[in-house]
Amino acid sequence: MIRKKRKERRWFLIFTVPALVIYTIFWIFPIILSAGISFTDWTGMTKLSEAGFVGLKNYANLFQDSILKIAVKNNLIYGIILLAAVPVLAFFIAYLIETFIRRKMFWRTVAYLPAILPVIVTVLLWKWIYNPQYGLLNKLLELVGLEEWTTGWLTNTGTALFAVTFTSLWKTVPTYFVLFLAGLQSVSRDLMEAAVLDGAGRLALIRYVTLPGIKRITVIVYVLVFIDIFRVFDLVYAMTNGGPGYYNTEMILTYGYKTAFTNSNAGYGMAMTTVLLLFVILCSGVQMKIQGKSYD
Amino acid sequence: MKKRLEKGVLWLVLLILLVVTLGPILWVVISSFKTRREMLTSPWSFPETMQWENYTKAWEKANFTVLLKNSVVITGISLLLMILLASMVAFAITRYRLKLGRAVLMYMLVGQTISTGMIIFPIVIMLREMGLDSGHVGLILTYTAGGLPFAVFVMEGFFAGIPYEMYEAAQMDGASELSLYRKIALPLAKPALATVLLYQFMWVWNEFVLAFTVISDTRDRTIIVGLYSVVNGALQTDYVTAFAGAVIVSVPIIVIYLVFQKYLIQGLVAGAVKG
Repeated sequence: MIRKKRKERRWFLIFTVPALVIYTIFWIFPIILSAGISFTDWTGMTKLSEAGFVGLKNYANLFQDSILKIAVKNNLIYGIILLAAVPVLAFFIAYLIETFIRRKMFWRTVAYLPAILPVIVTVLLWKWIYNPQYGLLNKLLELVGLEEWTTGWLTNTGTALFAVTFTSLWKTVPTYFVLFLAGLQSVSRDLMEAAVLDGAGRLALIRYVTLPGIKRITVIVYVLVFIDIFRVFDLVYAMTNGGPGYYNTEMILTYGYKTAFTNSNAGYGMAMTTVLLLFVILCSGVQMKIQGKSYD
Repeated sequence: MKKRLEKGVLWLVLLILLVVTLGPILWVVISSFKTRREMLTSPWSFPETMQWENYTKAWEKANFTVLLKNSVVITGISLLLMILLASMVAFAITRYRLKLGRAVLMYMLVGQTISTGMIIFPIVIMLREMGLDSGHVGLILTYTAGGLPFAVFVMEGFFAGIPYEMYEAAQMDGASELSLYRKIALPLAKPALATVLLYQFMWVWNEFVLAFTVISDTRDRTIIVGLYSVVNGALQTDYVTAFAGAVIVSVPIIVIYLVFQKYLIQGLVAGAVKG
């Protein structure tokens, strides 16, 4: 028995150690490195060994940074819109396609397409839609007689954040749509049929059969969207790089990136990303608690 | 009457969906065949003659012959490594059911919270120190490592469904642990492998931030970074070329999706949903 245990242990290590080594070096260690840098005054320009230890100074500075305040505010506005719209829309589209459509494959592809495209293609496309002179959005407004609404959607400081947020919606709703599809397929058919036989209407079916059946996946989607909000980076980076004007679309991570790479203040930039990561890990912990709980 | 109203609303919503998602994409494809002047003066019409040279121009301008090869190599090797390593881990966790297995799974899942936006600065510093900032090795290993959490998560959920008796029966017949993994676990887990392949292909092929920042030599870049440089350089003047480039870059990903779309949810149902 003990020999069997020992043998199993040996095989377990043979199968897991290669993955653990690569994963630790190339995914976990960089995070530890950035946490380490966050306690120094390193600029990022000199050798890492020349960095001086400054304790929690970078973390204390976080509270006095007016630009960070703007970034957090932008990030929250962006986040509230996404959190309000993504799960509802994703569920709604998934529900319609799963319930009423016979040629599901085609419509699934249509609904999912924006999620497949590279971010850079999305950015190229939407930059053109928002273009002040030739953009599709303005042309469309002119077509329906709303000329006074036309603007440079990404250069106007009042609209840029919402333009970016809408683009993100366009890409994020399809991403979560798939999770609801998977969820809807696991809703019991028998329960559904029984309810129909009992004379339940469409809305009653949704309320008493469908929604309880996908409760778990719904909670997971909300948590995942919540985490995603704070990790928003590449879309904003490629689309506006935080501009126009005074940090109008700056997000927490794009500001962290700018601080480390452009403003040569690596220590401070890493303090930002470290705090963000800890926050996200905390949220994921909550998610795992939920997922771990068996739902019946 | 009520039925008809329901149908009406349904098709209205689907129409909106079609216009909002497919509309802009089709518009890019159509515009990529126009002349520059045509695109500005008549944005809604079809091209008078197909401007195929937009495509040859985009191809040459972005040096796609070289970059496509880079992307194929980087995506291919990192996916292969990812699937091999993740399936080994998932097999070990579900086959031996050691306490250590739960710990390994938890440790892997922490990585799921880390995003490229967070890791970009330290990874650039680290790869520079390791001398891996030129060539493809650093980027490939980073993608492999970053893709492992999701891959392990999906596969573990799937492997857990393989009946333990199958392993025991094969063991009675004298099969080694290695052949249990190769001849039982891997073939049975094909749907999970396909799901992981699809999602991670979409991630690695489309990934921009790491590819853009880690690789310094323009000849080592991926196709997405090539497109970005064309877009940045040309959007003000030569958008039709940029659109053609966008279409070229997107074709492989759409083909992969169409081939594997069956597995888009299949693997998730086993892993994420039932949990």
